[in-house]
Amino acid sequence: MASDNEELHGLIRESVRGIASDFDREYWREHVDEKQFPEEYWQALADDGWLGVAIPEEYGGEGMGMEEMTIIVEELSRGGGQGGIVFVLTPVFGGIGVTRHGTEEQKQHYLPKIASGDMRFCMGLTEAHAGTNTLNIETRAEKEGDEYVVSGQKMWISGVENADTMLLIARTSEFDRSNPTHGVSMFLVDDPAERDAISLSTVDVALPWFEKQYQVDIDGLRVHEEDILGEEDGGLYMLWDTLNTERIAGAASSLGGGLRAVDLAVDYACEREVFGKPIGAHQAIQHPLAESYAKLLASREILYKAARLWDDGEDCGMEANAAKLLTSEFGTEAADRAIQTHGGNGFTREYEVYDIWQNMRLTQVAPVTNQMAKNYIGEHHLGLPRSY
Amino acid sequence: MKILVTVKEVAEAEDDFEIDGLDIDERYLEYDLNEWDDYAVEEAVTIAEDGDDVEVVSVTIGPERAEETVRMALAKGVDRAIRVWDDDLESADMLDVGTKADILAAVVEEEDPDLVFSGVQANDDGFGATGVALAEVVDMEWGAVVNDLDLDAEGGVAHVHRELEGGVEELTDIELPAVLTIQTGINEPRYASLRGIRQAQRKPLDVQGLGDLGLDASVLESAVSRTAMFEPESESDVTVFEGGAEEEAGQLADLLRDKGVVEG
Ligand SMILES: Cc1cc2nc3c(=O)[nH]c(=O)nc-3n(C[C@H](O)[C@H](O)[C@H](O)COP(=O)(O)OP(=O)(O)OC[C@H]3O[C@@H](n4cnc5c(N)ncnc54)[C@H](O)[C@@H]3O)c2cc1C
Repeated sequence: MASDNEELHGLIRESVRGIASDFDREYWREHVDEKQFPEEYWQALADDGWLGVAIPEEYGGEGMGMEEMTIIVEELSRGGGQGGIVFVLTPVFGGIGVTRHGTEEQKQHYLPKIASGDMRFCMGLTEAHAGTNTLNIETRAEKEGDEYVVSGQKMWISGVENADTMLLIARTSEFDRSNPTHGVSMFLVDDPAERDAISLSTVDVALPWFEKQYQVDIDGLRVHEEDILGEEDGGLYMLWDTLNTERIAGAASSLGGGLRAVDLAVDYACEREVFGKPIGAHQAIQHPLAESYAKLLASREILYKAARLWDDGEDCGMEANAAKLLTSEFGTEAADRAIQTHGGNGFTREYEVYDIWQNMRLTQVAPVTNQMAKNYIGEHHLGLPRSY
Repeated sequence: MKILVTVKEVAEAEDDFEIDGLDIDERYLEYDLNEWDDYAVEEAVTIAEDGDDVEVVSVTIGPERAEETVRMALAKGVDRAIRVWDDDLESADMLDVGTKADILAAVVEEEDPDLVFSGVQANDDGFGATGVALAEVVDMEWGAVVNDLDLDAEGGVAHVHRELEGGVEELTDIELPAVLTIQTGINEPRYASLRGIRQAQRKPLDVQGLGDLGLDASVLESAVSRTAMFEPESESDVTVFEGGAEEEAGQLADLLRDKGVVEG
């Protein structure tokens, strides 16, 4: 079986690389400048089945797993542009969340549309006041008949303008110290940008990214009880359950971005001659790139281990957090070295590497910070006392 | 209707490579589907999608390594594949056009296709003759360097455009069964979809030896042999003229005079 899988994965890599190569630097720059969703790219991915990779076949997907998802995200990111990380919201959080926790109606409604490219998600979790401490969120949902009435404020929410559905996290019961993860629910809110009870103001974020971030003010938003994903009060359980897939997919995108930085730096170092030979002939240029490449390949191993563990239904918390931590650090470092390799050109938009650095740097903070990944490993894997 | 597509895995050398005996050192080679064959596969698969009851079979002559290339063709919509290989082929120094045409002819006999598509040429050895030689052996009609195809399956005719030298095209009708050698640009080859890739894992890929095709090692005998492998020395230098139009014209005139192309 191993060799069959290898062949299958080889074909997946090659085809995904092909699609990525059809969307050049110009295409992505335009979408970043105009803050426009890359519709053609998204549709091309849907048409060839890539968005539905992990969606069960009976709901229009391909029924594969996180390992294949990881290959796809890695190759899309390595191929340039920003199509890798966008998988985290829709095929991962939306797709895997609904597949694992949705009701039959929710599955039938959402999953085929995710696979066909007609459904995009955004995630409304973070609040300015609570920050990393999700238990402190203050957005509340009060039950009124068969509806909930939601009020509160979310911060840093990406891509609300492009989303067909927001995954919105709100408190449905008081915080209970004896059962701290209880009392929070996840709601599916359709057409979030169109709702009267939701107002959006953009946050001025300086990333070369095609989506904007918003402060989301919610005042009396009515959500039907059927639009809870998972159990009432069980939203955090649901979130933790899909968190590892989000870490894996995020890590795949950092890995791909880091490898792209190395690829671009190698090309440039072979071409650019200063003292009569290519700058890549100097060890001061060559060794940092070789080291970054080695680090990225090593982190790739633990990433794929995490993905395979998840697919086998085993605990992958340690591996997923390690992969998240290492790929984001090594990816950022690789981009930094790619900038150094490019000299002054490293700061022009034409050469892309400074863009890569900025987006890589973000992956050390969002969707979750690297300190939290270390907290997890320290506490849950090494058995050290909880540090906070 | 049945279409047989010949595909080949070709070697591509890195920019800097070393020669080892009569070949490029294996360390500098990467293998991929021949570019022309990608177009041939696309043409056949499109016909199958647009028509009723069209079977597309691909055939390659190559070692086990070539299976990845063949699987990609299956993933793009080819129905089944044949790979011809055995110890005799493995130990042959070189397969010339005649040998390949004879082997492919045996497959054509077995499969009895209405159409055979091959690429115009392979981008490693570049003989550009296998398709036409095959037509000759199996006594089929043929059209070389086809860059547009309008198939009338019921009438048994292929209306084709053939690319000739100097931008000239020949518009001609070819009666089936026929061999067409497919030129790049005739279509836009697709990428395999995930569903296609998954289905390809279950499609038949049949390995046949020379004996299975009613042939023996004598088919490998060849009047052609490779005697040397070298990188040609560059015979001339490039001169770049710089300056305004008048200056450049003067420099060109000087050069032509120096080289003895013009007198005076
Ligand atoms: C571009 C961008 C897009 C985003 N998109 C979304 C989105 O779509 N949806 C969404 O819900 N959120 C989104 N976020 C929010 C993001 O997930 C948070 O910014 C992130 O989780 C960190 O939270 P914070 O900014 O409140 O930092 P804080 O919680 O204030 O943390 C500040 C620093 O303190 C550290 N720290 C805090 N507590 C501890 C501790 N116990 N141990 C060690 N260190 C600690 C943190 O690691 C961090 O380095 C986005 C953010 C950005 C910048």
